[in-house]
Amino acid sequence: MRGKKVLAAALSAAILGASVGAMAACGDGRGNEMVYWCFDADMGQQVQDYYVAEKNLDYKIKIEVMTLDNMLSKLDSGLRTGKNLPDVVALEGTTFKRYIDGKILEELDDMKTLTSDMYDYTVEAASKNGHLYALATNVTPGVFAYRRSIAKATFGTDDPAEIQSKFNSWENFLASARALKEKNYKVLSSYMDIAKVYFGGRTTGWVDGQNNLMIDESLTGDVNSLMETAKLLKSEDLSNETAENTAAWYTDISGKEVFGYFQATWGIRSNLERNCTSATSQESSYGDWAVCEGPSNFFEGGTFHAVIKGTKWKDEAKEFVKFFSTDANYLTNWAKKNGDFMNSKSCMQAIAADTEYKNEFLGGQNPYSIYISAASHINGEIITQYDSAINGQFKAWATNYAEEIKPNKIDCINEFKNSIRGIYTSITVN
Amino acid sequence: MKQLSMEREAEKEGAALPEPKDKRKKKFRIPVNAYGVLFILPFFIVYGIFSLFPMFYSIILSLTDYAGYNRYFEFIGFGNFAWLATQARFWQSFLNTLIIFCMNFVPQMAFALIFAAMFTTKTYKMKCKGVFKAIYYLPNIITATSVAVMFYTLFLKPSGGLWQLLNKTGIISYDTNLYLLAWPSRIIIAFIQFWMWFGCTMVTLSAGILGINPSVYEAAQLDGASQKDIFLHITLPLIKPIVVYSLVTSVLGGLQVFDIPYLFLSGGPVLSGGRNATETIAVYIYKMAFDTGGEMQYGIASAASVYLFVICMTISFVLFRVTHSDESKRQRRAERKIWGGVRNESRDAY
Repeated sequence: MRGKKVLAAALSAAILGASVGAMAACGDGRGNEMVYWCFDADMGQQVQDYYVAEKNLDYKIKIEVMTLDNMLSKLDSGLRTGKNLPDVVALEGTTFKRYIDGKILEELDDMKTLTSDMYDYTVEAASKNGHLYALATNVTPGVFAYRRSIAKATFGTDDPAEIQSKFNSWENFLASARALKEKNYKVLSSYMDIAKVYFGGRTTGWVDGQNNLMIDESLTGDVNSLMETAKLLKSEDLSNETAENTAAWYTDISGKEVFGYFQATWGIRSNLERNCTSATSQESSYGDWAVCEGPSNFFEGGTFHAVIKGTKWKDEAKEFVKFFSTDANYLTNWAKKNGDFMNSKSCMQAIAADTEYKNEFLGGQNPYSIYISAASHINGEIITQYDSAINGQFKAWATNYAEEIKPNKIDCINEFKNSIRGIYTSITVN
Repeated sequence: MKQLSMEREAEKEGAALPEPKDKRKKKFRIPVNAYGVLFILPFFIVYGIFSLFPMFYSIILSLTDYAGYNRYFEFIGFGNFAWLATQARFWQSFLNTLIIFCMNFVPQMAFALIFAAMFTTKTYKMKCKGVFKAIYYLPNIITATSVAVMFYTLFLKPSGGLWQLLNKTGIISYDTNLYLLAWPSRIIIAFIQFWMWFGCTMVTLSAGILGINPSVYEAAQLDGASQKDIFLHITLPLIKPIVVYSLVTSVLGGLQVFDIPYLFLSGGPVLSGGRNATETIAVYIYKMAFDTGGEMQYGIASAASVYLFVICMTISFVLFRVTHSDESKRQRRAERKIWGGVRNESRDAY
């Protein structure tokens, strides 16, 4: 009996201990190491390979790799409570804007002199009220990747310059899409893929300085706007009508029907190259791709490094941020190894001029001169912290218009405005 | 009271007895009741930290302007509640919750009852009962994420297997994207809920049916009652408490449903007036507070959860009252039937 009582008491104490322990584990106690949070295993590896292994640091770097959603929610709760924060963090291009603030991040103004070799939009987007808060490691301009075999069959050439002349405006894009349809090809897998290109090509961002909702004419106008182009692509059956990043969309990469994909630099490898071989038929489109700039410039994603306000590793963290945006050796090697486009004009120009550099997946093309041109045309001022949610709502209503679920364009625009009213209390919608 | 005083007397007697010599050193002993306290302590500590405190804290937050990364907030009275009352999107989320609940609960209960009756009947010996029960219960142990992704893929245009089936059989045209239409999306979500939970309800009801005294069935069979009569007049009335239990737990679970609607279409498709077709109240609360790109409106989200709390409380209270009073009413009615409306007192007097 006594044994049972002791056991029961021990069990109960263990449950108590576990709950208290779980609470204690939420506390700090990080010891003497700088903490780095990132959202991709590659990033953790590059810190290990290029920074920790090559520099004789007299401190340790604790690398914590998480999924992006997980990292953002941990970061948000850390910022609210002021506890459990990293010292240096990798932020992602579509969600980083809301952290660009003096209350959250340390100013990097002493690094402004280094930004002349960086792409302008990354500096514009990472600045607020004249202060610089983050430095981009890689730059992610978007391009139009297309199938060489289909280009030859339809247009008689697969040369990127000539294909670009057929896709350099939305008018030409539609004309080429119709030409492709005549040969039983589809210009895109998902017609809503064009949305990100249109969003990148705007001249005004979603909100102005007074937090009024602004809708750029290029999205809603009567000719060649996002809404109209999407509707034509749908009504004339010019796309394969899949949805972006779904199974059918990925399957089309290895198929024989779809001509092209709008992709950012990293997407060429992560989306296209990784999915270019069919899982069932073993057919592959490897080497049958090429890239051109397409009708408009946009960007998608990208990695920005920033130092969390109030860290005790401020100098080391700044050094870290500086290294991953300025070290020529790292930037060049990483770009050549992974096909990424890094935030250094001089390094990227050197790779573009390198006649020996060839991307085998892109049929031997050196895409860097196209990346350089695309990156230099991106407008960093249109990026706002509301982009991901507002883009999503606009796409939803543009889809309703294209699918004729709600055929009146003015109604769709008004409904889009209504949806923004329901999401944001701080944005004025007229 | 009587017992207590007796115990006290016993204690006094014990105290009056002389201490045995070898027990001079009094051994420290934990009173038996302290074990009870010790055993229930972990629950109350965990409950206090993870349930009670957040509940009261969110009531406090609902009266503040807490938002964004601010660590400080001010009390603004009932402003958040008033703002929410004007929001079509918020009320639509309540409506969506109710629609999805009703569409899933009615068939869930009906099928669960039929299958429970089938699995427990004595007259028809069904083979492989255990296998079927396990199969029907299986969806409940698959994680919601897998279920949501699976169904999303199945109904996705143009690659989804079930979408293709619907298209080939002429039920939907090639232009129909189910995820852009309100009712199909709601029906799919309700179906997923039904599919996931009917096995669980069925097992609960089976347990209820098996708990009925077999002699009641034997008596009914001797009296020549058919299977249908036995089900309607014996099984159903006797498992009513279990049905009520399922109803209460399902209503409370259904009002707070989050996982499938959020994972399936994240509340979409969009409706006019800023409303969404499958956004449940829990999804609305989550999006208001934590959605990527959102404003992190903790005050408003807390106010919405207080609304939800009040509604859950009210419904539980009403359900409790209805079922409770029903029981006593039924008893009175039965008595009237037997004694021809003669009151108990007069019966006693007689």
